[in-house]
Amino acid sequence: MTKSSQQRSFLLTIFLIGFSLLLWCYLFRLYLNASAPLQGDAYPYLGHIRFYVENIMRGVYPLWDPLENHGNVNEFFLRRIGEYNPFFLIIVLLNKSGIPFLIAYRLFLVSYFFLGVAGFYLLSQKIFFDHLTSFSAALLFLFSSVGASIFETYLLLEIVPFIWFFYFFVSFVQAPNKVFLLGSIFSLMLINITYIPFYFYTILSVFLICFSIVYASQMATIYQRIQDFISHYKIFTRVCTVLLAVSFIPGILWYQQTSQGEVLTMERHAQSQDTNSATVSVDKVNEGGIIPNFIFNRQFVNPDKIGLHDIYIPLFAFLMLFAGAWGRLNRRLIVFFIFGYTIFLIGLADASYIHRFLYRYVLFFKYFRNVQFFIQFAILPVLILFVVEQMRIFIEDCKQSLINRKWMTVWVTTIHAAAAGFFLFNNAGYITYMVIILNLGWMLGCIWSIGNSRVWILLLWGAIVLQPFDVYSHIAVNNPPSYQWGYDKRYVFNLPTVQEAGKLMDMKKISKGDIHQKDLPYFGTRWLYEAIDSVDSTILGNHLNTPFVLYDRVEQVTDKVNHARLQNSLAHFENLAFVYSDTMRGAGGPVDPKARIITSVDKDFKILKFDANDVIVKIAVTHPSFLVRAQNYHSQWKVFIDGKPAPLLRTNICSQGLWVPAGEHVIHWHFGTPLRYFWVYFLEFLYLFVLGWLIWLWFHFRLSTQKLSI
Amino acid sequence: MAMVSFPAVYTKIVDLIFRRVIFLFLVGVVLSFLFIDQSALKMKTLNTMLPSASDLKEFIYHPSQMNQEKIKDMLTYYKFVCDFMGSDTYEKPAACGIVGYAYYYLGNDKKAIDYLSQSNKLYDHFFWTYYNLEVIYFNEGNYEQSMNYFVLAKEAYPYTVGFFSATRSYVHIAECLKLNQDDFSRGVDQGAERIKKLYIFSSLLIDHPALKEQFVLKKFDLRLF
Repeated sequence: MTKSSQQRSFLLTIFLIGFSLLLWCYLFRLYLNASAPLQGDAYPYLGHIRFYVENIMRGVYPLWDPLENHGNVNEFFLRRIGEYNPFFLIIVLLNKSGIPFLIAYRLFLVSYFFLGVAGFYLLSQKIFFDHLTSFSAALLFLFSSVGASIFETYLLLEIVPFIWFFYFFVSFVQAPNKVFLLGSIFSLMLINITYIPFYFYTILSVFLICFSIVYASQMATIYQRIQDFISHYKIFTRVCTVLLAVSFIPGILWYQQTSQGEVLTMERHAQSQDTNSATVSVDKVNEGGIIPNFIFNRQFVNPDKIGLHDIYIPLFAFLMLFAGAWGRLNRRLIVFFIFGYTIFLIGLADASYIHRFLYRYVLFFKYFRNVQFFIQFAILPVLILFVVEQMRIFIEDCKQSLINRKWMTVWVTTIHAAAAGFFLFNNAGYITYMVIILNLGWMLGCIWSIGNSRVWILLLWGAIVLQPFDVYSHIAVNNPPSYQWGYDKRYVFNLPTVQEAGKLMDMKKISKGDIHQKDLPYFGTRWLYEAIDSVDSTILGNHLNTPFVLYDRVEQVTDKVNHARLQNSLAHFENLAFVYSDTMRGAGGPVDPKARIITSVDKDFKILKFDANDVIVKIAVTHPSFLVRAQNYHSQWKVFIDGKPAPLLRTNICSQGLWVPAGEHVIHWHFGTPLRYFWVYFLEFLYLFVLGWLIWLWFHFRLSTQKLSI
Repeated sequence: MAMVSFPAVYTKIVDLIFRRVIFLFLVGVVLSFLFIDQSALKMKTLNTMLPSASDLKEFIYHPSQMNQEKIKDMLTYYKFVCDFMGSDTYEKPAACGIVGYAYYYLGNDKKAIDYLSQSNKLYDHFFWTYYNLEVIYFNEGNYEQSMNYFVLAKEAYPYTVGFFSATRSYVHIAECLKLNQDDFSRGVDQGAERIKKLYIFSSLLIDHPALKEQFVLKKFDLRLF
């Protein structure tokens, strides 16, 4: 092939990728313009990201989420989203430019996914050094279920840094350079701040082991190459090491938080033998896992019914997988195979002996479940790399006449005929047969050198894109809303009216709800779980939805308190708060039998300011009173009366209470320690800085390579 | 034809098999047997497909009004149980019986009879498979065959209640529908009364075909317990 012909082929692949991106946007247009609702985990993640981004836009770093089950540390959700990810700025910028948040968020999801597709293209380039192979890899990745799942799961937040890490890492191993090292480190920094970086470290460990085994003879050279780089760029390498170490801080802080036992994820942690509340019991892990029979179930039987949660990869991949089965075997394919297969075994959970071993002996395996996510994280991408390598070998062998044309024609035709027979048996639509014909067309053209490479590229593009075009045309119809739009709740103090307060006080009957059958929140404070377990849900709800209540008397109790008595007192809003610390018992003399609910018309109470981490009120009381705030107690909440620290006490099992002296006072509740705030702002800045540095190094690198090529 | 020397044959075999991608696929199959706990995988697969309590309730109490797609889901699940479980287990005949039941409500009497007969072959002491066969044949107008199953059902009657608690499928149904041994026992008694009537109807219809219209207008329902 001449150079100009090669260039034209390259330009055609670039044009087709661009066109495919537009096609993808068209297919998912209902999700892009927010007409179709998000599904599954994507929905709560929208909530977490929205809460974080909107607070940041208001200048508040939300360490506490007052909306989450009557208040909880936000660290858990920040770890889930990896809040220092500078790409969240896309949402801020789009929103500031007038695009509604919900659409801005979806545009962020799509642009972040396309960033992942670009990374996958570049990674393929680094592995195969062939435009057509990278083109096919990028298309398969774009139209696989990884793309569709961005509207159903949160896996995108992890997959994109995974891909870019491998791109930078492979580039660095091939030709060590500052930009590749920093790129790898930055990707790792993004991965480390997510709640569960363990998926990645499992994938990386397996990859390194497989690679080292298959390429054992080259390990010494690679090691020497990296060693030379390190000794040449000592300071730069040390800076990178420090950056990597710093990125572990949020995870360590979260680990400490969960070790203290103040917050729990009951659903995950129940039955776990470990004392740390972030651990997951083996039964919970085993509830998940890959079910081989179902991975591609819908793909082959009912492709038009594929939903966002279904695993999908264009039919082309399977045709190539089997048609290429008679192709040459090389070390690359062996690495892909062992790597993908090992991850598959780990993903089977208790159905594989490997996972059982790892859960028992590798500490971090106790901290994550949903091992079926390995399909999207590693198995699908590796399968794509595997089939495009088969394709590359096939084309290369055809070009170099290394194949027996007649035999290969028989083999390829048989495989396609068998596929057609299979789909005929399963009543597949006509699109499937068109894909089979197109695929057979370009393969036969390649075998017999009929047509030119641009014709093959067009046929190949059709063979990859045609089925997804059909499948994703139905995607919005196949996904009826599973949630109602509801995360538009805003943090507001709804002080009750006098009538509402009166109704609460007059509640005569205590409903006999079966407290053990209540729905436990997914994530809550330890004391909230205890309150739910001990107190009738209506009574507890009445208290937790009443922002402020004033008492005259308190009773010091222990955790062994008679809950029936406490419940009875709470039911009638008796003028008695139950505290779990030594404190003054209350003013002497006659007192009102009922507590005082602060209402919207109370003139001696005013909310001066509130945000996620702070609440400031002004209050005037005639005698020392005990003020209870309906937010969950946590040891990191501090309270100040007229600027002076005052003791904050756990009250009525899970709420916050304090003594207010007689007179007018300003009370300020504040969450978080100064050190914690230092870290969050420092890390926010650091991540932005490293991204900026990386972009600068990247352009510098591109510029220098262009100069060299000139 | 020239003789091919041993090393040449060897090289050719190595080239044909070990240097081809297909070799990896074969390795994958072998490794699956070594590293995958097949019985745990079966259980995992079945647990993932477990039908919900509300669907089961509809499937059992109002199968003729149930959405056909949902019946297909039930069919898929119990077919999996049927395929996965060994012939020496109680699970297989129980599941085959339920598959037959599902096929009947999907309008496929032939497959329903096949699966119910398969269930009988595996365990011939379960009242409800005979009951269902009797009902299907009666609904089809094959009264002689229907009457034959009455005799077999009577013989199976005393062994039936114990069978429920020995099968995971029925234990799951009992858990979802909050049933106990007494409910199963009562169901079998009622079933016995019903098929006795069917037996009498069948004999009447054989002797007096003119009465057919009276009974055949109404189709009788299958039951699982």
